[in-house]
Amino acid sequence: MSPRVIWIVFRKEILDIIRDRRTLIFMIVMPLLAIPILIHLMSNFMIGSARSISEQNSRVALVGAADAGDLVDFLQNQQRTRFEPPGDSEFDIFVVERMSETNAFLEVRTDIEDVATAQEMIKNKELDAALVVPPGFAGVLAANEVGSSLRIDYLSTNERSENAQSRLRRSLAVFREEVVKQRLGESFALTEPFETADADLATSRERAGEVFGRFLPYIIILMTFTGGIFPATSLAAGEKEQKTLETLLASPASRVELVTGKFLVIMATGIISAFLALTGMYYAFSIGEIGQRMRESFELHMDAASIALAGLLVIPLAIFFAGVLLTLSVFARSFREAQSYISPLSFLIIIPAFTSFLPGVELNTTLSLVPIVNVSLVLKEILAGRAMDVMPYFGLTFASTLVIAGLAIWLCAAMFKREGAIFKV
Amino acid sequence: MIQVRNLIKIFKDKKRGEVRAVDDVTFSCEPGRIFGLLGPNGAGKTTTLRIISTTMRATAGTVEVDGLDVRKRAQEVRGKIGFLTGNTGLYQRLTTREVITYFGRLNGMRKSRVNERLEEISSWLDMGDFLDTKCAKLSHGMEQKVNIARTIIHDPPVMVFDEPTVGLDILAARSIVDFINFCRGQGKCIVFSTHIMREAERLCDEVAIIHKGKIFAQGSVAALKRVAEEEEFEDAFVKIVGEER
Repeated sequence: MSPRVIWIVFRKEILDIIRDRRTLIFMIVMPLLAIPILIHLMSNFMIGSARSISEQNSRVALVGAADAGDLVDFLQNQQRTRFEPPGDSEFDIFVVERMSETNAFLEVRTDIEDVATAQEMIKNKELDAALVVPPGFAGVLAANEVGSSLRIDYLSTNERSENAQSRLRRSLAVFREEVVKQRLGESFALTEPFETADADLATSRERAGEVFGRFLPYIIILMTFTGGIFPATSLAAGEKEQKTLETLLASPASRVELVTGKFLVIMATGIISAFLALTGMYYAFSIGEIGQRMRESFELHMDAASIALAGLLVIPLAIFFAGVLLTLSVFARSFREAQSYISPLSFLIIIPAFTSFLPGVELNTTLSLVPIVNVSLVLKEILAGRAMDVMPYFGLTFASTLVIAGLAIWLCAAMFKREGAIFKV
Repeated sequence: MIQVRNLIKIFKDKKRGEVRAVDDVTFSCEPGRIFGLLGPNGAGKTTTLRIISTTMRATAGTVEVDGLDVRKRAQEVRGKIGFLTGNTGLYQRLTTREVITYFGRLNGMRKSRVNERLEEISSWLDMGDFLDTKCAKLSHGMEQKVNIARTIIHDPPVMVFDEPTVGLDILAARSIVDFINFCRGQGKCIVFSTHIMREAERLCDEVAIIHKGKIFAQGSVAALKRVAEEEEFEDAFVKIVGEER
């Protein structure tokens, strides 16, 4: 096997695919621009829509207000934080949402007497929730009795309605506390013998790592694979389709040299794609407030050793992908046929690559031997800043991926030597 | 220069079972001579030429090119052969110069030698105008010239042509026929397959009529006409193939 010949093949193939606009789209534009833009837009949209719901007032009906007694006073007392007179509005009580950082209001109206009407309005989205007060509720409160129950009607399929329900629950919890205080006087303190406080031991670096550790492995694995798809289909099935393969096989270059040259191109494009996707994401993090926060934690979090280890693990993975892709491409008659084999294969890559997102899946010896799942989990740990803790699994994953990469190369070389595959028309 | 002895190639087909694509074929060809394999489609011509050029392996029999066994020393054999088929394509995104250089380099030539040789071939074939044009933009005739240049860039002593004029117009086919003659003039050993009688008649020093993998008759065109007692070579061909049916 001559490195010189492999280099000649490699250089020619690189030149050939670089001149193809499709390569530029798949290998450069998509990872460098499209993915970061998509992620950015999606995260902004998701955060934006969540924020817009939390910033919206919740429209609530107090059904049976006449029986609500102190509850109406309580809700009105919430006005002390911020009160806006209803003006022309049909809503007559405005309450600031106490637990939220936003200035959203709980708009309470008392003019609906009938539960069925309120429920209909919730379904029609004219109302977000209804607080149904049972008859005699005021009397139960006044007589210091127990056993009465308030009901919140809402729609769990409507986010705004769910939000109104939780706001109402929080307000009622405060109200209940006030009622208990009133009833027990100084003895109320006995109901709270101790307080609880949470102390999160995770550093901000670790918290950021947890986020990056989940989605970066997925992006890295996926881009290493998709980056190789176009060159792979072009380099073998494409050669058959444009009828250049036979001439190439009649040249003094050995099949192993030809396969190796082509194979290295696919591997390189996979790695470059993954690298460009990460670079693109890094710069996408500069856009907007959320992006900048992510970038800061990314910079805080990443160190050269983690990046080097992650990069090292991507190499056998890229070899494995290149071997599989090129084998399928050699087997196919045409570009299109190759793509039809590769498309379903993508699911076999995406599903195990998704492991990093799954909560509760921990690395162990068995999982370290499952292709792609192992890389996903080890990358997750490395990117979460726990590289040192998973070194034995890293070794196992690296070695097992190297073994299947070797098998993929062998399979690919065997396919390239199969007359039935090469001359299939 | 080329010795083919008792060559057999069997394909396994799911529907038809074992297919003897080449069945006990024996012939030889010397430098400065053109040997023609003449037969209808599916006769076994392409398979025979693929085995000579080492892209396929024989089931049995031997092929030697310049004394080298194609099975044992395939890589060296390929270095001695220029292989041109009628339906060869070109790398559409590469320029003429890049395609020819690629094959020169794969044949172990130094870059400087490739350039010298490229100048030489380019002036023979009048390719100067499109040396730096991408193959996607070439006309059919230009593509043919690039294919020829690619085939002879390493100046191989043996040329293998598999139906090189198939699908070409008269002028392009003519240029190929002239080129094959030119190669003979240079002392190359040429094996050439075709199903066009006139081409075989014009070019070949010796012809083998091949059908269903077997050689039915072998000799000069004149000798085959004599044996078949026909004046026209096409009639002789039909008679020979027909008699054996």
